[in-house]
Amino acid sequence: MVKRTLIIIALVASVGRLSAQQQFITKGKIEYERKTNQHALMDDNSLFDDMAKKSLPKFVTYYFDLTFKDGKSVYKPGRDPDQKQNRFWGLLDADNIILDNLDSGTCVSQKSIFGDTYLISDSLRKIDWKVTTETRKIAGFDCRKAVGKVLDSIIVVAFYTDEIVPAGGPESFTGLPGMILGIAIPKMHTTWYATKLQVIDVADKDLAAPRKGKKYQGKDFRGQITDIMKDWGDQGKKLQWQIML
Amino acid sequence: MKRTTLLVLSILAIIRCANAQTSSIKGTVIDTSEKKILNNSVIALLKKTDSTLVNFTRADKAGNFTINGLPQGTFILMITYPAYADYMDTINLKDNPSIDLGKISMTLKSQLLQEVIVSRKLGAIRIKGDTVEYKADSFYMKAGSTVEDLLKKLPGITVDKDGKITAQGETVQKVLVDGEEFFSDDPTIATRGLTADVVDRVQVFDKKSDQATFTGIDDGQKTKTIDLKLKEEKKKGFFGKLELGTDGSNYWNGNGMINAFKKKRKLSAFGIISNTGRTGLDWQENMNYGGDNPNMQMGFEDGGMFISISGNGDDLDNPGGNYYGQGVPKGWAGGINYANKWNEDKVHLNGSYQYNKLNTETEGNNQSEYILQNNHYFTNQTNNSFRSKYRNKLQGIYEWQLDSLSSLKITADGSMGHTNSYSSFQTQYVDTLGNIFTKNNRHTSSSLDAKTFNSSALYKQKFKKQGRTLSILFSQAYKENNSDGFLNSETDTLENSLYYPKELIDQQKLSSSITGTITGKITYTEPINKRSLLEFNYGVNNNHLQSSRSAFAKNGSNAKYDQLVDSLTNDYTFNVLSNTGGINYRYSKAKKITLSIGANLTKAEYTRRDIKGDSMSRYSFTNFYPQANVSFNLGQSGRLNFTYNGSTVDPNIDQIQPLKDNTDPLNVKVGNPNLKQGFRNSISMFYNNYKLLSERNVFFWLNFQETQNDFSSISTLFSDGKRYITPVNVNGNYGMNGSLYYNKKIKKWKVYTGANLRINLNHNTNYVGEFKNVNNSYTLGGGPNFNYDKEKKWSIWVQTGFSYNNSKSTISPGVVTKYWSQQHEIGLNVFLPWKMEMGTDATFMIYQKTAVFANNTNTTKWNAHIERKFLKSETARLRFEAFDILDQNIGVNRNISSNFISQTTYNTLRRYFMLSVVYNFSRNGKPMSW
Repeated sequence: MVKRTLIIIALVASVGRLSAQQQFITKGKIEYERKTNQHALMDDNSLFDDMAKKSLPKFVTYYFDLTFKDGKSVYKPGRDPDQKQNRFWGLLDADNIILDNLDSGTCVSQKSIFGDTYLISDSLRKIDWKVTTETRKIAGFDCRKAVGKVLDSIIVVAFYTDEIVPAGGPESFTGLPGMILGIAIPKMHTTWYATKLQVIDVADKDLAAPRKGKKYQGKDFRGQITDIMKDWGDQGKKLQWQIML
Repeated sequence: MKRTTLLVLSILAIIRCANAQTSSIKGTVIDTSEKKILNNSVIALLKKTDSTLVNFTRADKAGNFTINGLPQGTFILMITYPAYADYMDTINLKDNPSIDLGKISMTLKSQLLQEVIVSRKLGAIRIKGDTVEYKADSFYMKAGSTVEDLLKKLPGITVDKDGKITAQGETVQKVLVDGEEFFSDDPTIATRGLTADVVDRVQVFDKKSDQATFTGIDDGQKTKTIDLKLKEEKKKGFFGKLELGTDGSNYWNGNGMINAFKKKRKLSAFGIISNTGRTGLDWQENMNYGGDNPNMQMGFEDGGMFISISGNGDDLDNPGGNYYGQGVPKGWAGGINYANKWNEDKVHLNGSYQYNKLNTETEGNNQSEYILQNNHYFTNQTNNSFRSKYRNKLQGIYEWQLDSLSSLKITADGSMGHTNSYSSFQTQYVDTLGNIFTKNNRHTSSSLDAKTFNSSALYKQKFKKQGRTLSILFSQAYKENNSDGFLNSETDTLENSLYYPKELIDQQKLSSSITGTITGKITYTEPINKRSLLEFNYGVNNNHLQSSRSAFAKNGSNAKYDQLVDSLTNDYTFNVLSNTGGINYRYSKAKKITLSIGANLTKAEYTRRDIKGDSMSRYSFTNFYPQANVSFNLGQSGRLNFTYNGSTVDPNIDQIQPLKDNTDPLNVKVGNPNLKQGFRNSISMFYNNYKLLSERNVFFWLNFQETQNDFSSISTLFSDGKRYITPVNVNGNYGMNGSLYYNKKIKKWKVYTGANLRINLNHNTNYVGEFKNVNNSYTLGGGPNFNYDKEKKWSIWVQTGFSYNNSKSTISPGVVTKYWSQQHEIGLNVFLPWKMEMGTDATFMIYQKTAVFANNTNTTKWNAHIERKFLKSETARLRFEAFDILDQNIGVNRNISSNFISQTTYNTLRRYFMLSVVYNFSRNGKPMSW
């Protein structure tokens, strides 16, 4: 696949922008770097977590790829990080696979939670984005900042670019007028930032829906998780956010 | 969540009904100067009130756009196109079914100046060098205000509506919190994420580049930085607890603990007195009120976690005290601990002092069967003992993070203690007909002084290349014991229906031993690629043991112990110098496999010296220690791990010192200087699988070990029951144990239930005279359990355990020892009105009787308590408890893994009642829990 692709690194894309015709990207592959400050996720008043802080690095980094073409995108784990990422139990596996169907407003997510795999069919998350005039560059693209709220109380800061047409993004974040290249969730001490974009041909098989796991409807899945996590106290709350993201 | 969705849906429905009328807009986007069509422009409608995105579209090839189905209201129309300035306009869709915006012209980006209104107020401002400092409390803030709101009020600082901060005319690029960089490089995440009331001071300064800070040479690169200093009172306070309990006469349990902290400084102290088994801090209390444990390490592998505690501490070191249910204890303990961190946590110091004292009175009974070739006999022993032990211990840890790549850790601890003990034993030897053919009465006493000193230094260095590390360790351990004691024993044997004194012993025993160890080790790891690395290590270890023992018989003429008993006197040293080198290969592929394989080669030089006999022998062993560990992630849901390692087992000095130990004159231990080092092969595996939604948990483990040249014994028996026991090497000993747990929640009844199975199997060889005896024993056990918990209402749990035990010895294949034993527990907790709570639990121990173990050892230990919480914060409790209500508690221990099988019963804490008050106090802090 890579062989017959035409790779345009973001830098090239931004140089190209100086030429007469603006290029709008409709397909390709974006790599996101997800970074979590796991020390901040740990409790201040737990002996266990206190010990864990001493022996675990502050940041856990994982990579994800978002392959997209027109109204469809698949988000899944990307390359292995250079260094083994030691993480504590409260930080879940980073191996969600999510197919977003932007045209029909639906998605299929494969999530693994403590070793169990679930396949959840749902509608795209509706987020009331407040759009700002602030911009910043991510992976060479000018991105506009928008702020939204999910799961009742979690503030999400997103940066999207209008140079990429599909209104998608990492994890379950969509709905801005362009591709989301950066996400920061302060309460979860986690950021996703695009590191590069490859403008490549995307075949249908690259956009296949995930298939593994026990099937659930989004509503039932959320209900069950909420039910179980309510016995888990503060840690449960943090896990719940990660699971339902 | 469900409810909110419903609510939102219904509100939307209402809005829809109320505003059935919808509007549409259309237009065309072009470039002003070039008259170019700007297809793919984003046309977005934002709510005028809070700029929430309502709808958006993109312009088509002709630059045209249409948005239909828009609700009524006032909106901001935002049109964007890369490299063009944003187009913003307000449009009103009220009573306008459709608006044609016509041609919308965009201009290339130019700097738009945004007007920012800043309210200024003069307050407490200080200037320190090139730092401007604002005192946050000087500026009135509404509750819930963010740091950004605070910054807006500070003179000289402006914040625009995007959160961009300008200080002294320059854009602020970094916002630090207590000197630490907030992990996202978007400053607004810190300024909008923190509330103003936690901030004490705001500092504005130019941060020099890291290079300049490091070299001290100013390279002119500066970053305008704001540092938010958080309030100290959030970091100053104390917590602790006080507990007092008694039954008014015989039982008491009191303890007090406090930890006062200020920033990173911790000062804690505790005191405990108790005769109800509470003789030290428990794990949790030790972490909160005791000192750091220098030997505790924690590691993480693939989301799994392990805690390891190494070290050669004695039983007073154990968290949870040092009383394991044998005898009746009285304990006193106290300690103070100081810990602090400096220089941005780079330097950490911890020092502590602890005092422990424990007195134990034990009464016990031991019944044994000696299974011999064509014969067997029994012993019956009762014993009484008293032991009093105290210890003073000092400990310090110093850690220094030299720079981001290297660190140094130094630990030192020393202790001095003393133990006095007195014991008396009455033993009867009984033949198969029930005749007592030998009797023994003996008394022993000893007074022991113990000293220890240990220290270590560990230097760790990382390198720029990921995975390349170096660590250098030096450590030293020293232990000295000196004891002075007496043995008084009389053995009578049956001859012609009368007992005659056979052996009378009245001796003083002196012994001293020194153990000194010095270790140096260097480890280097070099990455091969992203997934694998090689580890090289080299170490030198010198272990020196010295033991001198002497016995003096009482002189009949002057009643002094001045007659040296040669056969019980010896002065011996044992030195092992070993050089170890090894290599390890480690590989890991995330979510698939983790592998580690390697080997060490050790050359160990032994020197044994009998000082009095003036003989010395030297010899050496070269050993190869392979090790392998592989861990698979089985699909998504399980993990399977295998470990193999080979290791040597060294005899201790008591086993090799060529000396008789007649402390028990009927079971005389004789050292064997020819005892060889053993080599042990261990294989273990485990599997676990946890499913969250079904709340199902499976856990399985199995260990197997086989030892070459294992240490066993030769028993030489005499007709009067006397036995000489000498350690000897044997081959072919193996043992295996394993467990399987399965637990699952039954959703319908909200019951958590499951079962476990256990297996334990041993194959041991020993010698009875010339005869080689092989004993095979096993225990199979398990049972179901269940647990129901209605939160804040009541809970019940039941745990059962059934075990079948079987033991056979080749010396007498006809004699099989087999019995069932059971241990079941049941518990109930109920929350009552008026802040009351009660609970009760019972443990049932049932041992099947056998020919040897004929006395009844079945017990039911039943406990109950009731308590009430007091104070508004419910931090005080009044508690009444009844322990072992039926007054049946005893300790039982059966051993069937050789042809000498035995059952020991001993006294332990029995029925008591206690009324206690517990008070937890705190200000700005609370003890850490799990």
